[in-house]
Amino acid sequence: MKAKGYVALVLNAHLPFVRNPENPTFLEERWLYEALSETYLPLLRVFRSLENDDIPFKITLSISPTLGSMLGDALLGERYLAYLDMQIALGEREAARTVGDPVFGPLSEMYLELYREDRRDFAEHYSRDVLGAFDYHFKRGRLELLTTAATHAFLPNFRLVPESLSAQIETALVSHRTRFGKQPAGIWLPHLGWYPGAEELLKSYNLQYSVVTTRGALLGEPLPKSGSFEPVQCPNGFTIFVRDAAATEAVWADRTGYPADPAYRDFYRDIGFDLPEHDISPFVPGGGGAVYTGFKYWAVTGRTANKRPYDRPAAEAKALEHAVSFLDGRQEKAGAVAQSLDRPPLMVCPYDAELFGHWWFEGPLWIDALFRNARERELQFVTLGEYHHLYPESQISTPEFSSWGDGGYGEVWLDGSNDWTYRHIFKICERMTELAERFPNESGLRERILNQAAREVLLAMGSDWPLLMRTGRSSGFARQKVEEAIGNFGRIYDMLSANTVATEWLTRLEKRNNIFPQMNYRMFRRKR
Amino acid sequence: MTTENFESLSDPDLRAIADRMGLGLPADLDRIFVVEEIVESLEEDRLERDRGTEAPLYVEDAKYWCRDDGDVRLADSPPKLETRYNETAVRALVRDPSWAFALWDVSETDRSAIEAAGEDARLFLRVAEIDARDGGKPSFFDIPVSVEDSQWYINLPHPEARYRIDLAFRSDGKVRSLARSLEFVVPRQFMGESAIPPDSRRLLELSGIDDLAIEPAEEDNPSRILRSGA
Repeated sequence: MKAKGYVALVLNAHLPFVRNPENPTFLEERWLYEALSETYLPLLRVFRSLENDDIPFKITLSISPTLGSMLGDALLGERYLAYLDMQIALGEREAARTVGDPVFGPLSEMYLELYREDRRDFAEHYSRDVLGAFDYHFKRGRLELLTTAATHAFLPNFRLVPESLSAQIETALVSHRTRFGKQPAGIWLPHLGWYPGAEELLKSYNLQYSVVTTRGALLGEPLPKSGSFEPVQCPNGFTIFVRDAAATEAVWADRTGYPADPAYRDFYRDIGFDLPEHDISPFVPGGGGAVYTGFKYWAVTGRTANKRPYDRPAAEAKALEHAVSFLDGRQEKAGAVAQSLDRPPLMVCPYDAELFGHWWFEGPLWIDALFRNARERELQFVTLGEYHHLYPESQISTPEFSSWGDGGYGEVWLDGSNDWTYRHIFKICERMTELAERFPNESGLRERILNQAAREVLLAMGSDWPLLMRTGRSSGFARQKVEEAIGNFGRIYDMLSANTVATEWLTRLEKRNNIFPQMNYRMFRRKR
Repeated sequence: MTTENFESLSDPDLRAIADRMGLGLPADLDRIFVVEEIVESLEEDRLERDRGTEAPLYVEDAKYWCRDDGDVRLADSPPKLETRYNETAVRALVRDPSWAFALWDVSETDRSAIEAAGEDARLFLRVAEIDARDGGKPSFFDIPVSVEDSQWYINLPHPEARYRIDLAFRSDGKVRSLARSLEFVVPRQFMGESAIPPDSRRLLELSGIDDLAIEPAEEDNPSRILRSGA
């Protein structure tokens, strides 16, 4: 069936680098374990199921270098198994606690089985190699893998330190090639953060395309005549895909998006807060405090504290209904614009991967249903690369500075909660370039220390930290992570200035922040 | 930007800001009330944005939830960061169509020079619009700062204009620039004035242009509050 419209589902899988070897029960490492259990492994199960049923699927997936590093880390893999064992133990305790209860008994059994399935998949089916599992589908053309900035830095805010921007991109590409054996053709801009001029940087690394917001594109010069239904090209040929606002709204709108439906599982209500602390503490690293356990027995219900118990069959039916509704919406839109275009319209739907499963528990089911119900339609799912191959030329236009953050520009990553970081981060960026210029041909211990300095600079630039400072969630942790990276760099800078090296400290730091093993500090040199 | 900073702007610049914000103020309104209206509406905007929940960030935030409080201590206590780097420099980072963030430092040598210049010596930021849009003389406005200040949000009168910021001090009627930022261009908030081709109108509507509030208003701007980045 000839396509009357294209749909590109684009997912960004990202978590900041959090790895604390000294502390086997470091709570923030659970960000990774929860995303593995609730998003990455469930998505892989969807892919496996679609493959088994010969259902074609196409997804563009960005795996951030920080997440890739953690997914490939043996220590974190070992700790994830320990986490799963603890979750299974909690599930068994919950199953015993709710045995005979017709409402909550089946729900505790559901979670117990999910964690057991995660353990089987991770330990046995994928032999702890989750990246390899994504690569399997990449090699078969179902997934297109993109990269993003090395530590997911919000790029527009680092225009003043171009060498560090280059290092973000170059490190990401090296990291991607090492993991997947291939240069990515496209890049995910963290938070869709774009600025005019980014195209020169990205094209210089042979990257060919990315995605921006509708606002950024429509404010571009000249006006994109096809709206968001075709990409545009910067004068240097770099292609910009445009986010489809309606598709975004359908999934992502706070109060009206699909995940807000009363039938779906509520994210916030968790036994970690509902049960007495002494019931939960045996299953919490470190033993104390209220935490999210992942065992959530209630439905969204509505804007009320009186939640209804979660009804899994009803939620599954709703996910199918919403998948059909999404396809109907895109098909209707494609029909409405087709006659105004000289090619089938493209609707680009970019989301955070962790939306699916972690936040929207039924999200993976929705994705599964999308592809199963798309077959008999005049819509065709494509990857960004496939579309770019089909239509390499587009209207010339350069988007305006933009992001998907509040306000549409850069205020999420630059406000009163986080602006203090920039003074220090700009300084260490400049000093890193100074070091790379002063010591261009080092080897041995001095090369090691320069490479570690480069890692610390990149870690300080991550966009997660200012975001968390703004939202207030884990803001103390975010502040410490930035201070730690700046402090580590400062100590290295002082050591190099004094021509001394604290070898034991350096070795410990290299072991803790072992990200980017192929780091080459010289990428911070000025481009000539 | 505080009331005092707005008060330091010229009448045309104040009017330009008020117009861009769609305040619809009477032409003969005294400048003191113009400033008041601007400050109040900026505060309203801020509160409005704070009340709204931006869905992408809502979801992004959720992946970091694992405990109810945010306090955790890392293995090594983070170091105390330097507050200044003993350099004289000013940097400017544009944030959105209305605001730029300036951060600066003054070296010990320059601090001493300012202090030695006497009590009348005044440090200030000179915000210069480089390529004046009407082709006239480049314009600028000054923002007084103290030696202890080190950063400031600056409300910029004209979107799409090119600016730079000088860290300067005035003594004995003479102005001396201590440092100069790189130039930066303020992003546009509204599309250009040229009419949308009829063929594109429907495509843009179906792309959601009406919800973005980025079309220039004919008489006044009906939506001065920035909308989410759809």
